[in-house]
Amino acid sequence: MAKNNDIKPKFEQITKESPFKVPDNYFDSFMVRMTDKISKAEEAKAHKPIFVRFRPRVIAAMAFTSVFFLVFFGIKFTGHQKDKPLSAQEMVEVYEYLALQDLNDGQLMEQIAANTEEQIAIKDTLDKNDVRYNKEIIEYLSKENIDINTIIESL
Amino acid sequence: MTTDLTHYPDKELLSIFRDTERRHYAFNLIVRKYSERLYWHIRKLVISHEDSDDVLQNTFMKVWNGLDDFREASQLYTWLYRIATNEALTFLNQKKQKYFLPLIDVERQLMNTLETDEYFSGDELQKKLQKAILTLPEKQRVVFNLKYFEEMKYEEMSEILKTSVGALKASYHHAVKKIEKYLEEN
Repeated sequence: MAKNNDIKPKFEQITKESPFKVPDNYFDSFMVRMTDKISKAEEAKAHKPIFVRFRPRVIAAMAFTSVFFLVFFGIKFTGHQKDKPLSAQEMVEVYEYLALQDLNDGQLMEQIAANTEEQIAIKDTLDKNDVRYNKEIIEYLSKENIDINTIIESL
Repeated sequence: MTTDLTHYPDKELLSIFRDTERRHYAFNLIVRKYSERLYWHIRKLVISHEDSDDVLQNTFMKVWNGLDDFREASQLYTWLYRIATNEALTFLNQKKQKYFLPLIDVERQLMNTLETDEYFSGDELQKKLQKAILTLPEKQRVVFNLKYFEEMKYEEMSEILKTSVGALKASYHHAVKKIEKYLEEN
């Protein structure tokens, strides 16, 4: 059984000796040139400012930091609409509504606080009853002065 | 008495290189041991002596910069061959892109170099064979050169080119057939 199954080229009679040649003493001079090139490269590396030597790492760190801050501030400024303060017009409407209740300033503040507490209570109630919290519903109920417990009991 | 540096085992060369005070000495030994062999491998691919010299220098610069990270997962010489092969193929690709040349024009350019190169000393048959080899795709040319001229084992070639032995055998077989056809037609 043939150990070597390699194809035997028909052109095998053409000598395998290399037809290429090099200038005299090429390989000896190559060694010297290579040594010189390496030494110069090492010298240049040693004289590079620290920033230039670490530039790739600095750039990577800056890119990561930029992405981090973009994501962080992106989330911070685009989310949580519920924390958005009321506009001037909205504030006037609230005051006008509460003023209809014939309340003075102190009573007004108490009413606002009470409304806020009521909103929290309503949310808790809705959560307990596994009802999806709907901000618009709560605001409506609060505005119309409707007692949510009445609705829940009737369900 | 001169020490025959070509018989320094690779493990020993690497061990000397890891000693920071002797790394230049170790590197010089590696260059002396492998530069000729790598040069001829590169030369068969890029043809011109000047280009081969450039590619060989680039190869050893990469070796110098990469030896610290060389984990000896493969043998040193297969690693060196891999770098040299990649540098030669990169050189040919850059030539293509630099002058917006299609592949066939790169081949024609290399064939012209064969005709005019002062450092080509082969006879007409050898020139014809080299031209036939130039018609092969670049990677197939590498396979053919390593197998036919350097009589490298497929297993070693597989480590260098990161290709299966079966694929290399098929590639060499096809390369031989293409060259035979070229020589018959020309």
